[in-house]
Amino acid sequence: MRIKTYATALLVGVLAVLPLSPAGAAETPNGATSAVKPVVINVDEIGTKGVLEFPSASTNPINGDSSVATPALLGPMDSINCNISHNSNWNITSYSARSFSSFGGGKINLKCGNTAAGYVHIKQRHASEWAKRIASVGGLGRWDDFMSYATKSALNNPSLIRHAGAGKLCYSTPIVLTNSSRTKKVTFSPTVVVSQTTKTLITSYPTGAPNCR
Amino acid sequence: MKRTLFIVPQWVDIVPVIDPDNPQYFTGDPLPMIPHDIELRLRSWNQRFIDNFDEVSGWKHNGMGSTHRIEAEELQQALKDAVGDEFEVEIDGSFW
Repeated sequence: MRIKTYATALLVGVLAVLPLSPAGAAETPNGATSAVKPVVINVDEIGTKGVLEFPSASTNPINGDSSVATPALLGPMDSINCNISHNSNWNITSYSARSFSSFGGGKINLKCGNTAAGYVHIKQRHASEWAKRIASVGGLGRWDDFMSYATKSALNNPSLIRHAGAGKLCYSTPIVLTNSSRTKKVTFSPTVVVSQTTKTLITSYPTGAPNCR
Repeated sequence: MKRTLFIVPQWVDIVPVIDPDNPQYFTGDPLPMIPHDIELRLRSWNQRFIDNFDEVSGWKHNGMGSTHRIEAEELQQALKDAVGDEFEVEIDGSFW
């Protein structure tokens, strides 16, 4: 009995000092998780002064700026290339992704893409899902601005990273959606899949828990 | 009015069926109307998509897309039989 007690205490002690990964996430063969403070997005600010209300209310977790304004995701040239010229290789914007396992992280490009991946894919497959999320707290902003900010947050401040097969990684993080009057609040998590080889965004869509499902 | 379920390949390992009118779809939880054995078949089918479809160049091997499409049609029929008259089942064909 005493031996068992000592063994349990030893096990607890060992578990308490197991090293975390450099990113602060506990790695397993299937992925890494870490506790992060949820990002808060005020839907009333989407498409007006940008999508903005950062966790500290002062610092942009993406680039460290204290500014609270971001431009709309698609500028005129982006619209022409994605919607008219169908230039799949046109780069709309870039995000910064946390490193994981053998993937060094860094710049991830959102390109116009096609029906399988990129902006065109996300627009075709998931725009209505993003729009429903905004509408769930009474917001009227653009789905793609919202998607872009949620995607940035997941890549830069993930609570979960896992392998998604064939050179792909999935990132997720909890996001709290609210409105200016704070009368409504909904928590969700984006599922964001990137290609490690081409360093491009494949897809991004809203789901419930941060589980990359 | 019948609801429609869509079989659509997904980039992560989930049951690749979308039920746009069901809030449960957004939680990532399994859709309750799909029997477990069909769920497993659907996930296996989806895994072949993840492993063999390149987002830039398409299917990695000749004929793989058409095989995948035929399997989708078999799954469509199996799902139709399982969920009954309450649902339509459609395949989103833009990956083939």
